[in-house]
Amino acid sequence: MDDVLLLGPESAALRAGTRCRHVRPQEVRAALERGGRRPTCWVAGHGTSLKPLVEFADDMRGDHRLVLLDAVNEGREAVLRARFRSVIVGDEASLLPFDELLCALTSPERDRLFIGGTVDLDDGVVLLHRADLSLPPLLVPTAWFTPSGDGTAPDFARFAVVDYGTSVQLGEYEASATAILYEFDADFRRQARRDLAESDASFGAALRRLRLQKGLSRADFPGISPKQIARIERGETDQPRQATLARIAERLGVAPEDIASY
Amino acid sequence: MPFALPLPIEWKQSGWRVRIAEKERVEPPHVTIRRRERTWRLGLRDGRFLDRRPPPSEVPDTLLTIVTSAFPVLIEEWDRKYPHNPVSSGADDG
Repeated sequence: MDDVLLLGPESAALRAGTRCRHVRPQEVRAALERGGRRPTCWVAGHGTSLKPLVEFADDMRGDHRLVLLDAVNEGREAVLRARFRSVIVGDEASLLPFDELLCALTSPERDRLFIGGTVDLDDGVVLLHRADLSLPPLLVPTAWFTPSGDGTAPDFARFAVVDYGTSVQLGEYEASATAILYEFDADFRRQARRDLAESDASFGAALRRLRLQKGLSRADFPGISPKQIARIERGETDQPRQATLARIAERLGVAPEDIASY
Repeated sequence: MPFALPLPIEWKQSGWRVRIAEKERVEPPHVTIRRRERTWRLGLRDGRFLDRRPPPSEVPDTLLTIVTSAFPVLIEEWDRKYPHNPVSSGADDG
């Protein structure tokens, strides 16, 4: 099955041999009817007529997802949203450049890439669309993007997903996609743990990784001495008592049972 | 601003990048080698690849030599961005 069906002008990405097929208007109906359980991803390029998609929407079978590079009128968007499992609109979500977008959507690595997103400063979140369109978008609190040690701070007015979806750029500030996924997608975190070349899978090592990820020192756990945290991290004590674990987890902002997943 | 290791022109032209971003998975300290949508984390403490996926063998040895020979600079940059988890720290950090 094709991973991505492209409506609109052919692109360099197609010529480069990605798993992306150009669909002519007269082929749209058949492609809509051929859908299966695996998502079919449609990309409508700039200036593309969406009429065939709307006209044959009732013939759609299976799971179809749509990425629109251009804005459409409200009525048409409502129809498309009613028929497609998900619709991402380019004027609402800052998307990757076209060829990078096609590359990300067809990549074997697409479960760890973003294709675009938006910043909602009122609610303090960044919404990120995954390149694997079968996965739900991620909501990342803006507070998570803490300034780096050299003082570089995020500028949410200059949001972009860049470098084939491997990074989120906020002005001069950059966050790696895998860092975001590791923090906010438990399934990704479990897979990433399995992908580690070498890893200390102990509870103590997981606690240490999580503590450092949160930028905390061993002295930052009220009611628990730094020595006790060190002993737990080094595996010199048994699994901490439930009350201690709850205090540690609360300070880290995760559920107690999630600590070991880091 | 992310730190980008200057690479010889032929590596840049073929799409390779070597960077340290402001927000990475913090432990262990590492540099990220990138080409298009693929990324490899290389540990700054021991020079080993941290992940099995994508296969580390896809990174050319010559590029790896360039990156490892720049470790002093990369370690300095990591420590500037992540002073709470410097490369020199181990399991006994505070």
